[in-house]
Amino acid sequence: MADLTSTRKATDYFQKHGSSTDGDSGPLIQVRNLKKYFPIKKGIIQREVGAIKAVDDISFDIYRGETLGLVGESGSGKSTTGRAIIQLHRPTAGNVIFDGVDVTQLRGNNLKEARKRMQMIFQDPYSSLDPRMPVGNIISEALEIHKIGENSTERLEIVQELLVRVGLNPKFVRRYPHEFSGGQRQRIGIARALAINPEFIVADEPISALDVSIQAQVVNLLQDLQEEFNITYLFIAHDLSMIRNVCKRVAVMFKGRIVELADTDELYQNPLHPYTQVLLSAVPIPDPDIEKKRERLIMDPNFNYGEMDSEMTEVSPGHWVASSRAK
Amino acid sequence: MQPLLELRNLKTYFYTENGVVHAVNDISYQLNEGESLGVVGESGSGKSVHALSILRLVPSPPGKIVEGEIIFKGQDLLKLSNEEMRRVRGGEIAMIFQDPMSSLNPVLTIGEQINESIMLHLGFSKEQATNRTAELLDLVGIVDPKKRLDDFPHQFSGGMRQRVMIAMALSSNPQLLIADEPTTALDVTIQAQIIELVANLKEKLGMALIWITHDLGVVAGISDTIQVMYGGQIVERGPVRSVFKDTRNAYTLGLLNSLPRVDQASGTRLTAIEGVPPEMLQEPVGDPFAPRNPYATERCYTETPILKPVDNGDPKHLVAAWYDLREVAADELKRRREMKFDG
Repeated sequence: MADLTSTRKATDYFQKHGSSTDGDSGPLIQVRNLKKYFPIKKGIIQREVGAIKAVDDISFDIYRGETLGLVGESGSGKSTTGRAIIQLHRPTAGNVIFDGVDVTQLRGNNLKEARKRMQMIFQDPYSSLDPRMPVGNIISEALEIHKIGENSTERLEIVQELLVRVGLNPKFVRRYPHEFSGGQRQRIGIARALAINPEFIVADEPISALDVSIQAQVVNLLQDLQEEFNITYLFIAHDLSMIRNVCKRVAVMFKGRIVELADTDELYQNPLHPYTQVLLSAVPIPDPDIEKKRERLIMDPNFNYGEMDSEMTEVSPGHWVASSRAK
Repeated sequence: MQPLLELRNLKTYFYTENGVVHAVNDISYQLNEGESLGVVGESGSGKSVHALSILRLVPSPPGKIVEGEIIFKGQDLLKLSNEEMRRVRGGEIAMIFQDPMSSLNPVLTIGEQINESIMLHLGFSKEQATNRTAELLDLVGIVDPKKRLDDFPHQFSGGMRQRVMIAMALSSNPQLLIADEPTTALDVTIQAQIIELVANLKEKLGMALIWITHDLGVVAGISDTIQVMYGGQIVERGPVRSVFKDTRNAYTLGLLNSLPRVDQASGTRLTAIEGVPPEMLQEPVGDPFAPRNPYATERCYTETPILKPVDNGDPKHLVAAWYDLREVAADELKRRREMKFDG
């Protein structure tokens, strides 16, 4: 492992935030000291007695056209991070610079304009589509809100093109969500996200509700769309195998903090943070020769993986780790 | 040797408003004492329904076991009275489910719930039962078990609740434990702990285990035998190593190739299985995977393939296929052999 004494410290973390090794295209999004706390209220008058620190002072960049993976276990704050970036949750503190503009400061029409460039794909394709709306309306709703397309005929054409693009029959516009399978619904969710031609999409566990044989279809579709439209993704998942497959860089979250961030293969081959090591060791590998002999690292209940020196240190180019234990 | 469990031509259907769902379509297999069987499949494959059928827990209506025999220790479970079946269930055969919270009674303490099961199945006194319960909680890795006897289910985390469920399942010294996706709702680090716990307990107590999952990685680690199900049928079955390394069914191969691996370099494009799983509303004709199988022959659409031994010298490795995968998918199999992994 790298020798920490010879590495740069957190001061340049802000200038060179987990930079990609071939990062000639600059960051589309810069997240700086982002915090999102949810108040804990008690009693009749709902007095605030504390806060859940869902996201606690995290900083990272997302480069144009890349897929950044965000992994962590339930409650680690990965979904909250995604929502705070696209302003579905207004952050408690910190900044989100989207293409040079701090979107945390925007209000009203300016915010609406910025939101047009950012979309989200949700985990559950069953609850994220209005069951009483035909698919065509679900997709064209965003077009109407953002005044895309001259009239309903033109919007219908756009919707049909989108359906074809995500691999569905354009004749499906009048059908309702319950008439589709889980994988098809996720395609509808993707078509809806694509409708307003966003530059950035937060994909929050987009495949975890799908059958194994369907997951690869949806992931391949997301990758094709990225190539075609140069979309930037924040790909949130707990499936570390899928993250490795689709992401260029990966950030590992634990209890509201990022503990490690690196180029994907570097992180998987050379995990430095003890929590990353435990997490990777837990993932089963579909090969009995390997799996039957594996010695697993078990999470030490007495060791606090999260509350370490929160300073990020760059131990090798682009490989950042919450320091003090990574030696 | 007489098998511990034998299923013969089991068929379980659901009679719904939309028609008859052919959930389990004529499956037969044997499970030996102490054997660890991994059943793999996706939703609608029949993997869970077949397990519920063994315990006669298929909700009826709409479900019904329409045909077959389930022989456990020489006795057809389908011929037992409800009272006799209750003693087998949670006695010699125990089951753990995906969601431990919904299988625990929220208003009874953990101690009360496990005691009840021990007193019922083993005829222990309350005091004996309490001691046994504490032992069991200790066995499944719950720290300070005596203190936790008076806790309610909501006071345990998801992983701890699943440990409690395992303790309860073990309370009657079962010879067969059926685990239906017990780790699917858990975080991956907790999943690893639960799998290790069950594997150790299985060795220690000499139980047979049926582990139902969609995760081929879990099966690779915990099972002796793997059984791949699709469309309510067994499409391939055999010793884990033989099925993974000498795959003979196109669906098994499709699953393996569509799965990303944590030890495989990023950017490897996955080979998706096109199409969608069958709806099971029609009487099955032919190979259920045929419509999604790029290697399907004409016969696959008209005639249901029979599960029979492959010719690789392992009489336990069975496949249901009209094609020879080594011929029709030679290129894909070669690519698979040449894949590079870390380490």
